[in-house]
Amino acid sequence: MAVIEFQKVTKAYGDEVDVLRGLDLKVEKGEFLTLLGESGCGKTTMLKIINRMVSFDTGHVWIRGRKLSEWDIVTLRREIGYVIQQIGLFPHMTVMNNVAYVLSLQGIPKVKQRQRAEELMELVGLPQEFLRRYPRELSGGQRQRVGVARALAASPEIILMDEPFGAVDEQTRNLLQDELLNIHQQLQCTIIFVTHDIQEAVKLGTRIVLMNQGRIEQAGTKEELILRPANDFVRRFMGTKGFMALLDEKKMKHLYQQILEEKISMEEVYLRLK
Amino acid sequence: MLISRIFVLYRERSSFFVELFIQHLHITFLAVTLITVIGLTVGILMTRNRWLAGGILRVTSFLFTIPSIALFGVLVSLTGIGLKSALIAIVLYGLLPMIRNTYTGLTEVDREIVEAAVGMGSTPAQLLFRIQLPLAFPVIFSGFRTMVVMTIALGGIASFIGAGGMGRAIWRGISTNFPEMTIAGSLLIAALAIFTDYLLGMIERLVRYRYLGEGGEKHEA
Ligand SMILES: Nc1ncnc2c1ncn2[C@@H]1O[C@H](COP(=O)(O)OP(=O)(O)OP(=O)(O)O)[C@@H](O)[C@H]1O
Ligand SMILES: [Mg+2]
Repeated sequence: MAVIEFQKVTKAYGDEVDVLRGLDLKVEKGEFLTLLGESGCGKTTMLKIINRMVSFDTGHVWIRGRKLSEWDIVTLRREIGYVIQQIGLFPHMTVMNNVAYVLSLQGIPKVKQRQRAEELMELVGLPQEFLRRYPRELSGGQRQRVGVARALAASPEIILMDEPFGAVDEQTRNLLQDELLNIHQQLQCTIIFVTHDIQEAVKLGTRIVLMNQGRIEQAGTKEELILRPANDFVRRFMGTKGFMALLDEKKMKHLYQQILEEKISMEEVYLRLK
Repeated sequence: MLISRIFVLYRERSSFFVELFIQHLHITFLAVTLITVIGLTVGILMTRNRWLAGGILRVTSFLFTIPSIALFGVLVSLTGIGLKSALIAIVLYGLLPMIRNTYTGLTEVDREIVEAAVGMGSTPAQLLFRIQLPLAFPVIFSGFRTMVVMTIALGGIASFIGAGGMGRAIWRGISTNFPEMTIAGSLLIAALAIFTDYLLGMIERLVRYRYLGEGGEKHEA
């Protein structure tokens, strides 16, 4: 049974019609799905339909086999982790209270909340002392980590992330991506991750969904999208950038190391490429 | 010379002044309580309905522009002389800063913070009490401070329609051509207002620091 299923879903915001134009998608348990596409193609809208932050017009959506409309909205949201682009940490609460927010809504005892918060800090690679700090006392990257920890607090089976690493420098982003992959492996949860960065989508996703103007152009593994594009749009969109992202980073590192150690010269590399 | 005559007056008529001062505190306390309860409630309800919000803001702003003497006059003809009329007038004036600051404070909470809270499954009440009200508190408190100081001052005028309070000393001074009495009454009102403002100002700075951290004072509402 699919964890999330979209069937012919359409959406218009007032006179902004055709924001989503008949979306079909099945997400299986444990998938790390990256939603890729240009600005304005409907990625955020699609994501927000899942936790009912946005309604849809026609079609059907099921979450864990139950129609979206049959879910109690508060229960649904508490069972789905949610990280928004601007993180939205609560400035008047300590990191501890931010991370444990959903637990406190559920009335879970303080001692348990603290225990869980400590586990989560470990998981996202932050020192325990940070639990006492306020969000304003953290760097951008540290805030992103807290945002992720907060979304994981109630051990949700589904986690929605809307460009969570958009606002940090490249090095930090790489680190955060590696940690997220680690977390996904450990927790076996289903992640839906919105991004407009091809490299990020390729690196993180077990499956990539490429959207364009409210439609899904292709959904598949990175190899499928890059090497067997379903149409011209996919081919153009992924292009050499997708191909470069596909080349194993480790192999590149190895090659680079060999060049530095003069075991192989750059001329040889060029020759081979020809 | 005048100053020393006023202090002599305070000493000689101390029980008179103490009584008036207590009356004044009493009126102020009643009005502040009413305004706070009504203002907070209305301000919160307004955030649920934008259309209602516009209307209420216009009405309260309009009330605010009516000269207080005129409003007292109208009320005396409707509800008669006494504490009731005075309280109604003071409450009508005090509502504007309280309602406006509650409403602005609540609506100015960052959208992404609200979205995160709602998206994580807060009920409307949890959103209000755990996120919106605490974050709006500095702004609401600064409205509260303005309102309290205003209420103390207006309490002086309220005595003119028989509500008691320090205004009675002023009134007696005027009607018996006894300027020391007038000044003595005014001074006490001014002292109470200044002291309260200072005290609330200190609390306000603490509140801002608590919620906004270093440099919190720069985020003026
Ligand atoms: N609340 C809204 N009211 C009206 N139109 C909206 C609203 N939210 C989104 N839209 C429109 O719907 C379309 C899809 O928006 P959406 O936010 O889903 O795009 P996106 O793919 O997430 O883009 P980005 O990468 O820039 O975040 C856009 O054309 C946008 O202008
Ligand atoms: Mg978006």
